[in-house]
Amino acid sequence: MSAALLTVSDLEVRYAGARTPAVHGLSFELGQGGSLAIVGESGSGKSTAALALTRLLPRDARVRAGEIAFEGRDLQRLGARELRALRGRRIAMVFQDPAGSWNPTRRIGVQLRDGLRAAGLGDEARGRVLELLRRVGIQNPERRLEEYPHHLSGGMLQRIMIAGALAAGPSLLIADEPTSALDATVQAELLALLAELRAETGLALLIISHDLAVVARVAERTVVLYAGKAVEQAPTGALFSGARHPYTLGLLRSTPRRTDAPKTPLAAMRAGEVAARGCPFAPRCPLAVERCVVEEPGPRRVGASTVACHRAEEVQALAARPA
Amino acid sequence: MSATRMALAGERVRAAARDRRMLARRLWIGGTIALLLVLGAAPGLLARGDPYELHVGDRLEAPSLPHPFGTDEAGRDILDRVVYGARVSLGTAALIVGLAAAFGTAYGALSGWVGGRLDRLLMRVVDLFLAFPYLVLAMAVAASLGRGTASAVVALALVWWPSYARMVRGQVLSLKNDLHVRVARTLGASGGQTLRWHVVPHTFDQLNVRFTLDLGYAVIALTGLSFLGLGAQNPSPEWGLMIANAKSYVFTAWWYAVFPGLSILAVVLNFVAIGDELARQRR
Amino acid sequence: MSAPRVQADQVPVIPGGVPAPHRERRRAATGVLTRLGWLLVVLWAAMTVTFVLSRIVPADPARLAAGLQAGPEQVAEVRHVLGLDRPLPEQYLRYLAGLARLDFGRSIQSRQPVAEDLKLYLPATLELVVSAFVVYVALGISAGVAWAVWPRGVHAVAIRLLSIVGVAVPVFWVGLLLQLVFAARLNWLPVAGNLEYEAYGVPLRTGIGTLDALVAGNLPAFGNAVEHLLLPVTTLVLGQLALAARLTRASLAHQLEQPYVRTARARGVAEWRVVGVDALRNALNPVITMLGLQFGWLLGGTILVEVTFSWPGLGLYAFNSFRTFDYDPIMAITLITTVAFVVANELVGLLYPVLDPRMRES
Repeated sequence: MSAALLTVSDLEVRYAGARTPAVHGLSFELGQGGSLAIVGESGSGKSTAALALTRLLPRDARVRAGEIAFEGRDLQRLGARELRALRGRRIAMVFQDPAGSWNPTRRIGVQLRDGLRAAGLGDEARGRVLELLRRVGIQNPERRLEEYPHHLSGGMLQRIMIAGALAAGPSLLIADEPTSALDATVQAELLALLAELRAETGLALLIISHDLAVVARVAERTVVLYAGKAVEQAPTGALFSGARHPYTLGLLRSTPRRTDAPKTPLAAMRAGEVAARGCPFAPRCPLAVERCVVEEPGPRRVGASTVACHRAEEVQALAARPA
Repeated sequence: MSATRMALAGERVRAAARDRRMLARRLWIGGTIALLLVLGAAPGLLARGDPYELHVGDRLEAPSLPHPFGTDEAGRDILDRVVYGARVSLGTAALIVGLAAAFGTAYGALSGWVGGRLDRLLMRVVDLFLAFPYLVLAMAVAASLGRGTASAVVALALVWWPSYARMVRGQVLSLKNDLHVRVARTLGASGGQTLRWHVVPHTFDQLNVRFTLDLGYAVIALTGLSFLGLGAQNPSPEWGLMIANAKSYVFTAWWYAVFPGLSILAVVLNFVAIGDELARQRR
Repeated sequence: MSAPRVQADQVPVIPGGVPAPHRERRRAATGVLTRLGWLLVVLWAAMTVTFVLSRIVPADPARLAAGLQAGPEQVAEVRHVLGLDRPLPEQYLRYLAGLARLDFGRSIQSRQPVAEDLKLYLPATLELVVSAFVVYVALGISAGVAWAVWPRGVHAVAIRLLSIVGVAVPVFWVGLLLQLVFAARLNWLPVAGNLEYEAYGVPLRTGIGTLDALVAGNLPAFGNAVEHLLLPVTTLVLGQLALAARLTRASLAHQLEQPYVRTARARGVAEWRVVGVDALRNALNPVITMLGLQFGWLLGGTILVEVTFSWPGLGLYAFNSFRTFDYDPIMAITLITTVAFVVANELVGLLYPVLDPRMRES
């Protein structure tokens, strides 16, 4: 296994004035050229965690971690300028809202050029960019660069965003819900594209998503986040076939599959609040017992997963039962 | 103590603080209104003398115990004149905004209610009014109607009503489609009745806020006209007129210009604060 | 994901009077013809209004023109010469025709055509209005940007204070206070008037002090001209500054929350570029709308300030005309300021498509 490209340990993000942290105790590792997904429902803190890595959160967010090591350097120790130098050059990001992520009053090409200049590339990189644009499936890239964002479709904008992100040859791409705003066919194309690019360039991918289907296609490992806390972490295949946390199981179950018989009722998890003490998932958990309300479970190794649950061993048995 | 109980206790403390603040604000508003009523109806209670009485012997005296605001060039006590001036300035301002609001509301409500081409035409007229730089127009009108407070009132009301029309029309347009309006119509209310009883009352909230703010701004606009000789005339104790008169003596008798100006500041700030408070209560 | 629509109760009330209306963003291609048409309508309305006003005047214009000593025959003759004995519709048409020739009538006090007086007084007002507006825009927007980027600090407190107090006092009172403190007591700046042409030996060319001094290459005179400008401009700008700062800040803060800002930052673009080049551009839309409307206030305020500082411009001319019941100049000034106001707002309208390409298509 190659040396870890990105090591995050014990990440905590807290907004000023908030009673509970948005993210706490998050630890994971991403190797060179590897791919990791952070999965969770809205509000679980997954985007916050991703943005926290390169200090892109608003001013009132306090980010603290044991370490955030990227290519051997602790990002927390870097000054603002050094961190900015990393952004775009070594760590690229792609966001969820393709239309909103572009300044509506400036041409695409100009905005890309801003990013390239910031990464230290001059106009000679234009050729590379055009090449990349063609590679991601944009016909007539010269024309496209002259257009304004509102002239282009979401799928195209996202492709261009990816091309722009890759232009400086970063080693890590953080994709925050890159396909959530797109429809299914475009989504599939884009994910395939990401996989190809990864294979070609050795790019490492950190993908944030709420959609397990997306995760299944691109991620080697998956971290499941609930209420800002990593409840389970495992190689994606193992996670899908043998979940060790009731929440993960619930997520898997509530995703409709092609193989389901028609008219199979949608399985939903029980609703409930996030507990302030003990296990945050306890109010919604079918396996919750007295201990869960009192004592917050710490992460431990069970099978192929690192899971935070007192009753992790029994989850598979639950899976065997019908929903 | 459990976390929940601590949180609840914290909540209660905060809520109590909020109530205290609200009470303080209510008292402030009540106090201001009371003061205004006194100033308007019986300024004699607060003033100590006759604002028109001349004491040529005491002209341009600096502030002192018998004359806390000093005296003007005719020996009149400035404090007395400021107190009586409140009635003039505020009363006139209230008249201006009252007229503007009344006419503007009626105009805007009708326009919005009727809709269609007539509405567009009526709003075009409003646009036309608004195309003029309003102070200049007010000056021209006031000058043409002849000097005096009445001209100033007409001029300013003429210039002020279009924004009320705009505001109310906008509200009526959106209120028109509300459920309770349609219910009223279905139950047989005529257009006029529905407008009068079911639509217009809902504009009052915003109107109140605007009216209160405008009272302060109208005082300022009025003082502007008086400063140019177009509004109140001597020997009225209108605040703007006092400052105009003070202009000739400002370097030797600073109190003459400063105190009326400070009164204007105090009054307008007050109205803005009340207006803000009303706006806050709306939400 | 667009520049924020400024809500009716967020748009700052222009102090001294009418609250700013909710301006809808006009589609740029609302035909050049339609806009020109509207301009003409407003122009016609302005001319008609001034005509009506000049005819409802309580005093008899013929008598005023003839002078107080004139006997009835002379007054009748003047009435005939001025065409005041013709039927109203004819007077109206003659009035319009006169305006087309730029004939604004005659001034009683100066005894010459108003057009001549205007040439005399206009330059000084131009100098004042333009300087004040430029300073206002530059300072207002800068203050707003600074406030948005650094939300806490002395400047934030100062702007908030100024925005409360600034609109609560008459502009001429501020002028008097400034005169009192800086001119009379501290003696730092001159009390009134504009460039002292004779004292500095500057030939009168345009009537714009700063310009004439520069053209004459006379630097001390330029300094003097600027000194004279300082207090009047400060008076005009002070009250309104906070309004511009507030709106700029609110608009910019809104833009800085948008996704594209985060994208630019994630690309490593320098913060000053993100704020100044990306976000500010989109934030300016409601700001320039407000600036256009503030120009209308500026025109009125200038009259008050000119009177306060004895600045030899149209405002002083108007003031003298008020006092002497000289109506032709008053109407002329009303017309000119209205045209200036309308043109200014049309120009503002032209700026929208420049800033926002989405508005360029019809």
